[in-house]
Amino acid sequence: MSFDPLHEKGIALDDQVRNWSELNVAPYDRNEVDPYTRCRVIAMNGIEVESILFSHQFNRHTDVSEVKEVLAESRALEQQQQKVVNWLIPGDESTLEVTLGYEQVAVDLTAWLARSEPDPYLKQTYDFGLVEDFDHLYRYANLYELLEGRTAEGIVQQLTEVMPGRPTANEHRHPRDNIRRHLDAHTTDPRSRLHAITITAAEQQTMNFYMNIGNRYMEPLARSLYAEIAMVEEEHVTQYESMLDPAESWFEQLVQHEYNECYMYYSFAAQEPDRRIRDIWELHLAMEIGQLQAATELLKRYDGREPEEILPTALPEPVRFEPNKEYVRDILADQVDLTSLGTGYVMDSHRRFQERQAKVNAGGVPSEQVIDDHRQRFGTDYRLETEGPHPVERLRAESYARST
Amino acid sequence: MPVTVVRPETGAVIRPGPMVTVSPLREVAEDDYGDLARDTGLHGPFLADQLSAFVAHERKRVSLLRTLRARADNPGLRSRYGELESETFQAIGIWERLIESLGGNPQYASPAGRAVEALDTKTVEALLLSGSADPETFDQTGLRAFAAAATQSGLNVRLLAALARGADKGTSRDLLESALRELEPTARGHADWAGEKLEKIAISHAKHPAVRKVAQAAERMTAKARSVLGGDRDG
Repeated sequence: MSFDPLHEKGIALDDQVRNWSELNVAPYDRNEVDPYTRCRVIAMNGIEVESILFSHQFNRHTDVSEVKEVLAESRALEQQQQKVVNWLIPGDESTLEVTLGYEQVAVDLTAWLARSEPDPYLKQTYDFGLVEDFDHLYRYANLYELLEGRTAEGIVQQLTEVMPGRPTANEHRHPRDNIRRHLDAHTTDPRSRLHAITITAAEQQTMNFYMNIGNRYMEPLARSLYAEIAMVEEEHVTQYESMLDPAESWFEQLVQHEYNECYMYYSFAAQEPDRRIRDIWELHLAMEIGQLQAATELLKRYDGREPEEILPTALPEPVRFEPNKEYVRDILADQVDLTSLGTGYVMDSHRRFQERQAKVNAGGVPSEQVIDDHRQRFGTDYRLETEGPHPVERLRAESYARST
Repeated sequence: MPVTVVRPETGAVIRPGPMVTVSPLREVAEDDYGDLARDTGLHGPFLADQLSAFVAHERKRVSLLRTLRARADNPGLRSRYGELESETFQAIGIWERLIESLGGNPQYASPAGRAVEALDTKTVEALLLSGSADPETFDQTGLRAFAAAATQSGLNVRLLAALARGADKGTSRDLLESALRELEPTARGHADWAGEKLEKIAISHAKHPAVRKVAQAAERMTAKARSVLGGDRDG
């Protein structure tokens, strides 16, 4: 059944304000939570944060009081939504456990987006980032067992495999090689734009998270691993935000942000098994519809365009969190050695790439160190290979141990 | 029905620039439109790109006029912007019919068209700094924005005339000339009106400061009333 947020009633902005106790929701139970519920919480937090940061940027580019007022009002509501969503994460879930959740989002959200992306170049961009985040999950899983004595399976369960992807050490490209081509607002399938907003938000949140919590550890290995992977997240944000059409006006971007929030809450409400959390997604969907209406009023008045001129007639197929094991394995088998040169993808380990690698990896590589330390203590690296041996022979446990 | 925003639902296609990605199904290759207006002896792909830019400008001009109509404090200006919007809408139709009759696609967004749209988008966005202006100054700024856009329209018509003059005799040249006859009076009329209106306001305020003060007070009151009522959404 199609759903068009433009034709739904939603909740008026005035009726969306919540009190402190309503914001301070009870967190989920870390022992009971469905891994994909955790993923939805993490993803929606990133999407709310992006909407807030975008709105702040917009606010700095106008002095029209009505526009600033609507932005401020909507932004405060987005902030309340962000608190509710992010406060679902319990305090007894360790930072590394949350990190494993972030990387599970990065794997299964990116894979789903790649699978449903109609533009071949954008699909390639998702695939490229996918196998890198997949590797981060493996590195953090090894750190997790080293520091906390638990296995990542307790977090991701058997929904996502844990094994090497494109080795993190090989992900450090020259910043110029992280720029990507962008979609075109005239011709793009609505899914491409929405997915690009979503992945940019998710990766930006991951980048910000690591930027802030990476220094909360005493252990030098943990601090250095977070620092290394945080730099890759900077690369990912650069590549994903590049996909958005910079020709879109501020108001068009605002409307697209609100529309995407409707899309994501709608998607997650449809899939959420936890009744209490589903109620939150549904409430937030109704709120987003109200915020979308406010944004479309600005679009009409200040951009001279009708929302029907820029939005699809209905939301696309809902985004789903689901296992993507075979898909990830296929991409790994074909693309583990891929890198980029400018906006293109190449198998060639070109000079600029090699120079960057030589510089940043000169004093040792934390993402390799964590595997070495794990092997030293446990005799092997930590993996969760539910579908058989690694699709790339040299990355199988025995060969990988010998080669490093 | 003329299209004001080119999008997938309207059948959009583009020739991607170096930083743009597009689905192969919607991609226009370098040499496509080689047959466009072939009997003119002009280079079809170049002509297609230029025509795409001309119609793109008129489409963006509709957006500009809509926002000016919604935001102008002077009721006379609001009403006039409404008329200009209708005439610009008709101009889109003329450009679209010309492109189609020459064998092109009015839903083609060329690199030149994207560049023109970028200029026009920034013209509309310049009005986002109107918080620094009193209502009268905003109305003048709006007129200047309209004048800039009307000047561009005039240039486009002038280029059309040049292309028609440079074309070999034949059906396509007749089509170019016919469109020119339809578009020229409107383009000239719009630019002239904007210039005359700006002149009139400037002289009136320079010579009659009392009139200016009365006008400012009236506009302030109107602006306040509209603000209390939540803005004039319908212009």
